[in-house]
Amino acid sequence: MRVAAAGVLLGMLAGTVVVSAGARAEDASEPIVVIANPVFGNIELTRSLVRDAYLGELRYLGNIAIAPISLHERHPVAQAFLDEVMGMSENQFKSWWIKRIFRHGDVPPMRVMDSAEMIARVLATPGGMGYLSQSELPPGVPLTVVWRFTPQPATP
Amino acid sequence: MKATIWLVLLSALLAPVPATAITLEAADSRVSILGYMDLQYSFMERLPTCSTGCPTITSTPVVSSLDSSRANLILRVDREQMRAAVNLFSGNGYQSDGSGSQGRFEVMEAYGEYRHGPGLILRGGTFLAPFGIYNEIRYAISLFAPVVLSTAYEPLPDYAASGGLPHLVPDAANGMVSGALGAGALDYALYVGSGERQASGMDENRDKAVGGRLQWHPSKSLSLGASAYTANDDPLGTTIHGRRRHGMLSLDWHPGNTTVQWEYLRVTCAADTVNAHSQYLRVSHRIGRVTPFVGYDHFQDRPNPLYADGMARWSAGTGIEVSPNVYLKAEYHYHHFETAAVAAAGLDRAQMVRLAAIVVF
Repeated sequence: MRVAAAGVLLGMLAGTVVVSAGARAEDASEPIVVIANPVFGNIELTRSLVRDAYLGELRYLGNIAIAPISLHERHPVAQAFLDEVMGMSENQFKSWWIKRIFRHGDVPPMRVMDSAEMIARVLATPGGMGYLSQSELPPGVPLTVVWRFTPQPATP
Repeated sequence: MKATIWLVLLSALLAPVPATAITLEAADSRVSILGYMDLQYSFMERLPTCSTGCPTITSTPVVSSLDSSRANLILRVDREQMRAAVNLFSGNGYQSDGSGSQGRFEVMEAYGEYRHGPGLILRGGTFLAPFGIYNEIRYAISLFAPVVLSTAYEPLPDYAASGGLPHLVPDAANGMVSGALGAGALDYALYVGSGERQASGMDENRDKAVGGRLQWHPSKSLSLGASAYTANDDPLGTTIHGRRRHGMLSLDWHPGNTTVQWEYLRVTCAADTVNAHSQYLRVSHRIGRVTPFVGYDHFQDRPNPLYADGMARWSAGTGIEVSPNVYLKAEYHYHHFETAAVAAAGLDRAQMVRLAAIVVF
């Protein structure tokens, strides 16, 4: 019974996390930067390469195991990233990964709650790559800024 | 135990936004819980059947069933280069007549894995053998394809009773080396297994199984595969089929929103009790959330009294993605038995309808 209760708590926890992420809105019209762990060195991380990494289709660059990191799906910057870089809706991205998890046994991008956690995870993870609002990236952080883009305003 | 599993499934589905999996993350490890379950309605007209030797051809009863056909709960733990996974399975969990596994969960897979790099992954335990496009995910194929699997993966239920093999594709493997070569252009898998086991699950035969699969990806939308497997069902001298050899060729092509899949399976046995060919071609096209398909499937086993001249199946249906976690399927399948004895018994045509609701997370 104790184990069963833990199962229910686990599900509730998943939901609670989602709700708290939704409450933490940031301005999605700011430029967004794609960042990477310095281990990538001079490797050019193109937009299509980053897209393939987030889709699980590219898992290694040389001997570097790529570890894409996402902001939580309800985070406005995450939604802008899905629109601009992935060309997918939130549901399409989820659907892709559900099939990928079953079909290939892959692990979807790790999710973090905010920019501070994103920076910490990308720094701490060899092969880590992520994205955040440009204004949330403090100067002097030893991360590689791969490229930046400004989200297009949503059409009414 | 059963209540615990269903509570976990239920709590996952009640979460405000169902995620791709329930995932607990730490700096260097991840625990993921995945779930797959379906509810199926099946209507099947009478099929020809007979016991070994086939003195007379009789028919199975008309089937009209509504049940939870499959449920899987998968626990994966990833820590740096290591993975441990357990896949629990329940088949026909809610059949009211007491058949099936009556809701009991069994261990379908349990393994540990070490990823040295993209080109070398070592796995040990019990797991579904890579063979063809679908064998290692055959419990969840409905997520990717029609609910009714091709005869290569799932022969009609009367086939084994009439002297055929219980399954035409490998069951479990126990040790494997796999990986991706050439920047992912070529996937390979080589494995060994205990071969044919007794109904109890015990491995009592002397010979072990070996198999492998190569998948070449000349482009992102095209995969060409070749699989091979051999095992000997010689359980302490009571050989029926002897050494069996399985080979399969696969094509998996995804031009745009269209999917074209073709596979050809060949199975032979040393005792000449099985000499089977199976192939299917299926074309589907995704239009928004709806994916209609048409398919053709042909199965022939020359020594078998029901399938000596073959059986063809034409299929049409559609899948609807209600959400990333919920799928609906509706399918029609028409079977034509080409063997003269089956036609003489008036059982050469059979229709089947399948409706299904699938939940995954």
